[in-house]
Amino acid sequence: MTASASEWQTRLEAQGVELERSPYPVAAPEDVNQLADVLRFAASEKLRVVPTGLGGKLAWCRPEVAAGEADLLLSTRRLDAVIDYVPGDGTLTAQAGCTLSALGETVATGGHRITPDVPRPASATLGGVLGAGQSGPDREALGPVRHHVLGCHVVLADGTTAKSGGRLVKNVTGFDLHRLYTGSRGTLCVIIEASLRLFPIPEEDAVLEWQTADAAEAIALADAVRDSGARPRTMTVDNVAEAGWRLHVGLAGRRKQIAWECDHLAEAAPGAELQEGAAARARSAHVRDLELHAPVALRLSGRPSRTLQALQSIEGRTVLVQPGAFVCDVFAADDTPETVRALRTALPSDVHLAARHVAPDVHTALARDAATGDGRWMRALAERLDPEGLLACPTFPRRP
Amino acid sequence: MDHSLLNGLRAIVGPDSLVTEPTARFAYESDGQMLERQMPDVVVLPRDTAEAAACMKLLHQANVPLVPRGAGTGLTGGATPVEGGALVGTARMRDVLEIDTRDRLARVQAGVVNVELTRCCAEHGLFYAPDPSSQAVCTIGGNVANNSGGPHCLKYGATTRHVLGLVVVTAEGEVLDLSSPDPDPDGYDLVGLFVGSEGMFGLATEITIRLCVEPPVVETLLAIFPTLDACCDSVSEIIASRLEPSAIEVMDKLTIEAVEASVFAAGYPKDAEAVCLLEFEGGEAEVAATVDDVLPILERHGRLEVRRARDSKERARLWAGRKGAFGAMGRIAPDLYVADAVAPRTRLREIVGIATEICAERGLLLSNVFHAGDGNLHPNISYDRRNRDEVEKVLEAGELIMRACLERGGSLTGEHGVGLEKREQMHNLFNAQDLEVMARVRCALDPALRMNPGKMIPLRRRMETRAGGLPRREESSA
Repeated sequence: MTASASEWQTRLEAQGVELERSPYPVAAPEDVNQLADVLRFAASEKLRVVPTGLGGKLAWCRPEVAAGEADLLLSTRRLDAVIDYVPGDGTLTAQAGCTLSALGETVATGGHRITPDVPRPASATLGGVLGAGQSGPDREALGPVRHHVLGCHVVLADGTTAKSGGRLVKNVTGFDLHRLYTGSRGTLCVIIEASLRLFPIPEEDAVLEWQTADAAEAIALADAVRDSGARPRTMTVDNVAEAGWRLHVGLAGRRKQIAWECDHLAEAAPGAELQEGAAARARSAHVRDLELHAPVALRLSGRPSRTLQALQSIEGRTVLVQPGAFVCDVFAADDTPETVRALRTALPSDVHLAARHVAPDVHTALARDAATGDGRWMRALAERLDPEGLLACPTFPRRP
Repeated sequence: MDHSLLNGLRAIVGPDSLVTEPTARFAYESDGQMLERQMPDVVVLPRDTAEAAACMKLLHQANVPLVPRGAGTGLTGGATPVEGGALVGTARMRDVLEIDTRDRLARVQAGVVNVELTRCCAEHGLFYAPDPSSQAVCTIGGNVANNSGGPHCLKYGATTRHVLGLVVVTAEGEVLDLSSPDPDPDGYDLVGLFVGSEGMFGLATEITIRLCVEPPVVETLLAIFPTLDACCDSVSEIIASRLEPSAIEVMDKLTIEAVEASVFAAGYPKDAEAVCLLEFEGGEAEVAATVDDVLPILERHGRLEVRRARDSKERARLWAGRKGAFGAMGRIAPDLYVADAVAPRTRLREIVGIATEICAERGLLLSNVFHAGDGNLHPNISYDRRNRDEVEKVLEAGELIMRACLERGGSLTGEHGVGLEKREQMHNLFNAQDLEVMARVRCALDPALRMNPGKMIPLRRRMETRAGGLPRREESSA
């Protein structure tokens, strides 16, 4: 049933429209039926809808918002119920609006933790993290977030509610649509509920940090750590501090094993500063949160062996690299479409370059061509799941 | 099949790689699930991506249904050509294209046999983690289609966590290159979507695979139990205690007897009601600490004995028994119905007990060998397919076991896929809207629905899709 515009405005206001913080009206439905109604209403009014949680990733996930090309923000922040935490099975099912910090507190009662470990978990919602496909530094050991999504409930643009996967740690029933939705930035559907695989809270945490003369030395050290027999939970190389380049290695796991790994690494690569326990956790959080102080402009990714070659192409920029996975965050500068096109040309052809906190025209410059290759499949999927383009992002994938 | 089409295919792959004779096509009428069979009209065995693309383009132009096939070891009829048409096999695509020890990845053709990949990279201290029981013959391409698992997926995850990239030939015969690894794709996760799609989106011809580093220490234990219930309960407690063995496998008495009477004999105690095979991998201190925590749990649940593999030879023997268990069951009856269900790990004993009751009520011979650590059950029913009455009972039991599993929060399949066998049971897990969304995704990537028709999506939903019940965007607005 479609409400009239005036009726709907009344309902939106009753549900908490946040006009004061956004140039757009924000609908924050309190249940799934309301959310589906919002989408149906938006379809009837031909509104351009941008799904969001608390809005923290809109700037890079949906650049059209900053460009003034959206009509309505649809927040899942009021869908914040924990549906099922099963300590005995190591799984969690929660609504999309739950924050990662709240979920972390819930599962900590049973000795579990959640991946990804992202900055500002108190203002990152489950739906937002999954929609953005946001992984944290712990991807070094645990892999990206999409590996740990067991299932999803979503609402499509036409109001259809559907699920994929389930709540079990192993399950291959049906297509893995939850993997498709993870990282789709709300362009295919609105994630309303998801199930995650959980991990044990480690007995012990430790951090080792080395200062190095240059990027090459830091990357060589990182390679040595990878080959040492230690299994870092996190590993980053950055040149954020004025002191120069730094390799940060986070260890987590069984107490005796971490003690052995600390000794072993300190011996194999002398000169590291060691921190343990709470200090180690605080240090890891500091590195994880660097992007809060300097927005990430571009993200490079690809084969780890391309790391040094890629770093040479962006010499002089401030970066944070996860060398094990080769994800390289390049911190903000005054990028323009011309500079990123030049960078694209300078990088090895198999290094991927994606826009983060940059101007909308830079996003456009880096958007995939929807007429060829994977862009064509992406476009076909978007058109099947959202035929009217209600949730479409102009640059993801680029629509002709 | 049209002669000009056959000639066209022959010109691409050569006469030896086009199977047209009925006696030769007979081998392709089913996979490991042999209750439903259908002969393909032709079998094409391309050598590489280019040949596969050229063949599939011709088949597309002729509007011929197309079924991808690896080694044919699937257990749900996923490679059965139910609508005839062309079967495209990867048997000649067996090249390991690249092993990159620095980046710990490999690029392989789809027909590379699972265990061959590990053999190829073993000298570098690397291995490919998914290890289904059929790993000596099953192909990486088949593993991708079914998102295959295996015992060590408890620690390392199923195939989807190891596939970094793909080269896919689409239903229209176009090559889609997704092979460049991207740990943080700035776009839809098409690789993740493709893995486990059971050949319904296209044919994967090349796969970029993540390789794992061989652990410094491996410890293997065989815990012997007086009852299957106690064995299941010990597993549930290990999981609930957040301990992380790399594999936890359970075998019941009938399985043990079959294994010990076979060439796979592993020295399992024949008088045990159940055994639990546990493996631990990692650093020395980590393995030691975890074993120290697991042993009291096994003891609390009344284990009779715990044996420890003293060396790699003993370890290999213990695993040979487990991996040969399905084959060993051939001693009991000519056919084996291998069910594949998933249960919450808190309810293992309950669901195994229900399966036992269901089979006992029907006079069926049930054995259990399963990936207990991740709740992936394999209740196996021995039968003779020539006995129609017994076949009916087996199918009924299989469905009841599955329903009981679903009612307790379980799922239809943990690693074998839906295929033909469980297609109609999809209604028991997903509602019409869930299935419609799956059908929409299928339509997006294969609008003519020619790739592996008749699988996964229940019949009614497929008929509606073909009748045009799904929204299609006007070309003019694209």
